[in-house]
Amino acid sequence: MSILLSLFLKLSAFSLVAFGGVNALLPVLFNLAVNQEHWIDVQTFSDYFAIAQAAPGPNFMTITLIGWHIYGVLGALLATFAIAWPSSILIYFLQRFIMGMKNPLIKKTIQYSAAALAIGLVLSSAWEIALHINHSLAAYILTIATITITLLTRWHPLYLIAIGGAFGVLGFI
Amino acid sequence: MNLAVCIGSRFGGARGALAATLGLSLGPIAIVLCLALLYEHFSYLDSVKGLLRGISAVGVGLIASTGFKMMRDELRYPAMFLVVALTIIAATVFHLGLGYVVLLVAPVAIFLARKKAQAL
Repeated sequence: MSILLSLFLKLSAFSLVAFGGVNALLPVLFNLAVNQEHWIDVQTFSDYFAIAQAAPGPNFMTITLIGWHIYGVLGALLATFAIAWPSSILIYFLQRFIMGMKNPLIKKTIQYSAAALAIGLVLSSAWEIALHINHSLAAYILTIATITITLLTRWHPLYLIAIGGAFGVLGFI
Repeated sequence: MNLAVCIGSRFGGARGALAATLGLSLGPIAIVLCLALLYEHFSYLDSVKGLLRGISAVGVGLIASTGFKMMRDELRYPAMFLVVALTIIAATVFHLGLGYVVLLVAPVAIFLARKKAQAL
């Protein structure tokens, strides 16, 4: 029971800082789940990350899987709820607050500064997670190729995931 | 998820937000748990290990590209790249925690964002 409580509290606290999106704070999640709480090891984290990327749905699925690892279906549901409720409530009020603002200049200022910060955080997050989960030159080439292709073409991400998976099965990565 | 809260609350207030988030997450949770079961049974296979390595390398690229795509808006006022660069340096070079990154970068971000808002 105490591990469920700890899971709920730690993930709820994480959700409060992660209201800009889980992807921007994956290194924080990694640190929490692998280094601090020892819920899972590095390999399991990167495997769950991969499963969550391949599955449809919101991008916090890595957390659902961590919950499942700890306490089965109940853990999965609890972890998902824990990651969703604080940020949802925060966004709900933040949105009303910003929509209700009369001054367009302040509105734009908030929007632009948050966007620039988010970009920096997402890129740092991708970089640090890459350092944890990519173990070969081929993996980095695949990551860079993915970035290039998504920026230059309109391919659906699922094609890229399928191609990456195929390279992996063939033993290249 | 945040988008579901925003759109749901536009249409049905707090209840709408709740309905939108539940509706959006229950199906995917069921699917991802089925995948987790498969993983539990087959993760010892080399091909499955390779598969996941390939997917995670692509996945991290997809996350990075969401960042790069958002950067297009910064091209309209390139000084904002300074904020992006500062954030990255604070987070990856100096390994500052999230709170410190935000505290450090926010003043510059707000200053430049205000200039951007005035200029555009």
